[in-house]
Parts: sequence; structure tokens; C-alpha cells
Amino acid sequence: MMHDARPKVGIFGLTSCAGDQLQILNCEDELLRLAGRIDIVDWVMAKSGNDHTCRLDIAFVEGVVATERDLETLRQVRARTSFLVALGTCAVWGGLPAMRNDLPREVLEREVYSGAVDFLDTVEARPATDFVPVEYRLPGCPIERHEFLHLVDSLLAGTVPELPAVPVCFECKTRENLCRVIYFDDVCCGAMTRGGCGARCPSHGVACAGCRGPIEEPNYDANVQMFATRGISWREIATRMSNFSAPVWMTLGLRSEAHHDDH
Amino acid sequence: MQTLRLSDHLLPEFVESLKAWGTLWAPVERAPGVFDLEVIDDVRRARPDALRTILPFKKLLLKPRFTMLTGRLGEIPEDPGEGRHGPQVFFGAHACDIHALRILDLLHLSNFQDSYYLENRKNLMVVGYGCWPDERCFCASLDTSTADDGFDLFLTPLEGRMLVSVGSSLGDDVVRANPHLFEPATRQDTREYMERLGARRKAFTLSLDVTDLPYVLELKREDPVWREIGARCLCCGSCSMVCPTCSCFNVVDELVPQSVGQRVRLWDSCLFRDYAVVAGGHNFRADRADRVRNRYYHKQEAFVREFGVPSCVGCGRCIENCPTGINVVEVFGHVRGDL
Repeated sequence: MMHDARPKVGIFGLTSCAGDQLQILNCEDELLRLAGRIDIVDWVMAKSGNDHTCRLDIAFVEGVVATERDLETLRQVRARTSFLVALGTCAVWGGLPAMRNDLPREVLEREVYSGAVDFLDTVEARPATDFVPVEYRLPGCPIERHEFLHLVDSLLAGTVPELPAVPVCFECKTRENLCRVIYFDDVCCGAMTRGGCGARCPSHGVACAGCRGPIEEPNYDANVQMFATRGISWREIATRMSNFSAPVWMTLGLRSEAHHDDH
Repeated sequence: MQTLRLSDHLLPEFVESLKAWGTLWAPVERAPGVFDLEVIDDVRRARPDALRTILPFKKLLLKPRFTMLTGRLGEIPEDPGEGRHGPQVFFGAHACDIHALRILDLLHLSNFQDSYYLENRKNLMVVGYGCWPDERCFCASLDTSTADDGFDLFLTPLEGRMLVSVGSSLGDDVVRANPHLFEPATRQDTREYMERLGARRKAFTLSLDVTDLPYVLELKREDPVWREIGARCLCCGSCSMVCPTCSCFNVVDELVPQSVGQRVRLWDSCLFRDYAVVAGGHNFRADRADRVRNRYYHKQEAFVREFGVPSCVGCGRCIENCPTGINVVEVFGHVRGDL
């Protein structure tokens, strides 16, 4: 990647909770070990003395584009780096900030800030991957630490890891959890969500919220029909499914589904 | 084959004695009415009467995920032994499980011997337990509702006691090591066993017509029913995971911290989209309906053509675990045009 020195790395946040960057910090000892092999030159959240203009070998970008400034930051990072990683579900799928894209921004601003502020320049929240090409997508809300470390180690070895493409149900079943749909009539997003988390939520008795984003070919119709057949209201289905990948589900019809009950 | 009797009150001592032969596994009630196969310390937790465990015993032979090799670049990789389980005892095998074991043997030991499977299989003691069917059992249709062999010991519960069939020299060793637990079976035991057998045969409520099924399937390859089922299937893979004979696996290379490489073997399912992707990116079964059809055809057509028996034992796990309620018996009924 570099002729003699360690690869130069930048880590950036767009509109987001910074949870993925926090996960990187949570790597602690492993991060210290990595610091000997990579040169983190630009990471505003974690260090001072950053270089905001140098060329980068690897850049990680967390978050959605929800302001004009986000877009500008994203384009600058893209221009600076040869390898761009969309870090976390916001950057890959839209995540929480895109949950209510069905409501106009004026309504959201009024409801959240009571119209008392005028500094907002928000636009519809969309994932970073909608605006620039990326070399790698690392989903998760937040990302899995081991997957991040695995990615960096692999990049240093000149390759990229193959993330699990199987649904959460695979990991859930191998852990022999009670199915949240069958035994609890939950809106469990496991069958449409990409695994890799070890089915953490169902293993703790909570339905999958879909935080790692959709599998390659989710059977949207069969999933929503399954929930509806179990007597769950359409509004509930839409609310639960919209948490992390709303832009995808909205394209597939969830927006109209959400208003089924109104008629 | 030798037949003995064991009093109910001696069952805990008998189960305890099995620990001498390996790690003892038995069904345990994980939640009300839901069981899984666990390593047993307190033998009172064992529930051999449980009809189905979430995952079948196949996890004792090949774990859902294990590291085959680990090593650094330039070094000879080593087998960390994760896939080799040592001596194990499976207490609470039902007739369908024993037939499933035979199917797994055909698959793993016929053409190419799977060394992990072979080693764990040789180290597995099977202690069967007579079950009573529920509304999801259809083993009687597949001739897997009783087992003539394929076990070391088989316990059939009668009133206050069990009839014990000794099915192998290993089973005989267990009896000889615990002579105080067993008595010779009486004529009364035989009579009750026969009564139970007759009553059990009548207790089945679900049946699958397997007459000429491989050929019927060949004729119905393009039947619209496969599209209909494909539209309902989530491709979550649950049916494959819980199936006692589904054995597909994937092998992936991973780089773990400190630049240690590892080769991992994990369960897979033909229902997953990337299952039939080959080099160059072509997917032989990119269509969901094709994948669903493939699973049923493998069970009831391809396996019969290759090994002479279907690779379904009628345990009902896939019926119990399908979140959208796809039912294998109904599927084949639809294919025949019965429904």
C-alpha cells in the first residue's frame, strides 16, 4: 500500500451518533497493536494534531449525509483516499437517521426543535454509499469490533474479508434460541437481516431489529405477510422494520403498508 | 439381540453410568415444551422422552462452526482439534434419529470419507429411547418409526420399567459393566411391548404418500407449485439447520488478529442465495423458487437415486421451525395435486 511507511488512515463521521468510531476506540489493546502497523493521521474524534489534507491509503466514513456539509466532507474524503470503507449501518443503509424520511424535513424540524432554531440545513438523510463509490461496506449498529479488526488486518495483508452473507436466522438457529416469530409473535427482522452478530439480540430474548441491514435478496413480501398473518398491525410492522434500513424497505412498499390500518 | 428390563427407579443410575463411556448428551427442557440437546451433568435433567430437540444430534458429529486449521504465512498449519470431539454418548435417540444417523453415514462415509465425521462417529454411543408421535411426526410413512439396528442400546418405556434392547457389543459392554441394573425380560414385558407397538402405530395422525415420489417429482419439475412455495419461503435456512440429515457446509479462510490465518468449516444451507455461486459470479440457483425446489428434490429425488432411500426421516422439525408455516407434507400433497 505504501512504499516504506505505515499506511495512512483517516476516520471520519458524518451525521451519526459516532458509535462506530467509539467501537474502534473500544478495541483498546487491539487498537494499540494496530497503531504500530497503521498511521492514523486524521481522526478528529480521538486525537489532536490531525492532517486534514494529506493523501490517505484507507478512510473509514461513518454516518449519513443529512446536511450539505456532510456531502462536502464525504466528497473530500473520497478524493483523498484510495480505499474508502462505509463504516456502520448509517453509512451503508441509512440507519436511524433515515428512519423517518417519509416525513418532510420541516415537520421533523418543527417537532424536534419547536421551530425555535434556524441554523439547520438538513436534507433527507441518505447513506454515504448513495453519493460516492466505496471499496468496502462494513455494516452494524454499531459495527462488530472483530469485523473491524479483521478488515484492517486483511487490508494490511493485501486482501479483504468476506463477511457472512447469511441471515441472522442461521446464527440464531445454531444457538438454539426460541424463534421470536414462532414463539412470541414478534416482528423479528432476522430472516431479512445479514448475520455476523451471532444473533446477539434473539440470544438475549429480544427480536432482531435489523441493525446490520438487509441480506442480498430479502423476501420482503413474505416477511411482512408473515407478521400480518400473526395479527400484528401494519403500523407496528412498519415501525419495527424501519429502524435501520428504512430506505430499502420504503422502496419495496413499506410506506404504503404503514398506512394500511388507516383505511 | 438381547432383551432386558430396567426398572424406572434405576434409570437415573443407568444414565449416570453412561458417563463412563464419554461426554453425555441428552435432551433438556430449554423452555416449556422446547428441548435442546445438552451435555448432562445432573442426570435428572435428561428428558429422553422429548420428541424433538431444536438442533438434532448432528451437532455432536459436526459442530455448526469449527476451526479446521490455523497457522501463519509460511508455516505448516495445524489442526487445533476443534472438530474432533472424543467419546460421546447420545442418550434419548429416537428411531428417526437412528435412521438419520444411517443417512449421514451414507453421505459422509460412502464416496469420500469425511475424517471429522468418521472420527466422531466411531466415538459415538447411541442409546435410544422409545417415543410417542405427535401431530408433526410422519416417520411411519418413511419406514423410520422403528429401528432394528443402528443403536448400542434402546430403551422402550413400559409401565414402571423399560424394555432394553442390546444392539451392539458396545451396548453389551454397558450391560456387563452394570449387571445389577438389569433383569431378563419377562413374557409380560413382551406382551406390553407388543401392545405399545400396536397402539403407537395407530397414534400417527400425519402421513406422507411417498409412492413413486422420485418419479412424480421428476414429472413435476416445472409445476407452478414451486413458484408458490418460493414466494412464501424466507430462505432463512431454519429448516436446513434443524434437519437431522441436512449436511451442507462451507469452508472459509479468515485472518484473525496477529495475522494468524484460520480455515473454518461451518454449516450452510442450499436456501441461502450465495450457496450456488461459483467462480466468476454465476449463480446456478439465483432464483428463490429454484432453491426451495432443490431442497425438496435433494431429499426425495436425488438422494433416492444415489443411495436408494430418501434423506427425510419424518421427524417434523422443519414443520415446527418454519416461521412462515411451510409444511413438507403439504408441499408434496400440492405437488401431487391432492390439495
